[in-house]
Amino acid sequence: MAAGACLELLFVVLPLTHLGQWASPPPAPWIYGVAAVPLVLTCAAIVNPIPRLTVGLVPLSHLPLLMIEPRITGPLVYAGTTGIWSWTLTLAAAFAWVWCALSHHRGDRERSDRSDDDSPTNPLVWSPVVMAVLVWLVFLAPLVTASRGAESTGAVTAALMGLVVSLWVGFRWVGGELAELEMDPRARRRLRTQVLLRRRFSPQVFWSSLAVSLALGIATSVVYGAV
Amino acid sequence: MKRALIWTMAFVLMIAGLWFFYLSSEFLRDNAYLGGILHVFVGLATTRSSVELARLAVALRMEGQR
Repeated sequence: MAAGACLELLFVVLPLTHLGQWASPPPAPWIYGVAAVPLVLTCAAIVNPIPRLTVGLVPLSHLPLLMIEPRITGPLVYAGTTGIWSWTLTLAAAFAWVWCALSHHRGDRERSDRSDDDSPTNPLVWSPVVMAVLVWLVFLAPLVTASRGAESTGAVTAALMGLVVSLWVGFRWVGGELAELEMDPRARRRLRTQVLLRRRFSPQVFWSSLAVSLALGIATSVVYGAV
Repeated sequence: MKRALIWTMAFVLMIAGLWFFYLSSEFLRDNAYLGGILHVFVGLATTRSSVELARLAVALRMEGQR
């Protein structure tokens, strides 16, 4: 509920208010009626959280508004350092909404056959989100301290690169391979089978990753002399 | 003791990976794209190492519980 409210506030309500206050010409009155469609559908999804409504109709309901009033995602709203923060908050709210909707759906489906010792009390439940946010903040830190008025192509590239890397590291590596191993009995069974087949834990991936990181680190240090 | 050492190494490698990501963002901000992409790869490889070490620690704990 909180994620849906934040998402609509950041993606629809605040940009439209901003446009109504500062843009010329301001949005036509009937556009506010179109903007009410996603708000109503989000309320309906909160009341009745079925997947086709939460991750289907609610995201699609924003499309008419985006087509009629594309300025709500334009540079007037998302320019500069504050724009990067607004964009980050909006993305975080959108991910929180999808995450809550899918976990609610998954919880309904698996509640019946889940045993007592698999209850989700493990702190690693939140580790993918924490890791993704951490990587994302690390990428944003140099951009926030950058001087205003500088050319923004590099900053946008860094922000996009940070988004991709944070999602990959957080949800595919930490969430998909580490947290799943800790929480999902099927993943544990898979690893146990793998260990039994190989008779030992294979450290090849670790050593190859370490070798690649060392080689690339030395190469980068030689080229740039910065590290 | 062994698992604590592995977790510590994983944590150190994760911090190193985050540091490389920070450097890559600085390079990209200054339009040094080659340096930025190289640092992203270094950061990814280092972070991957830390994830593998964490998996090793989890696997060791599972072995201890059996």
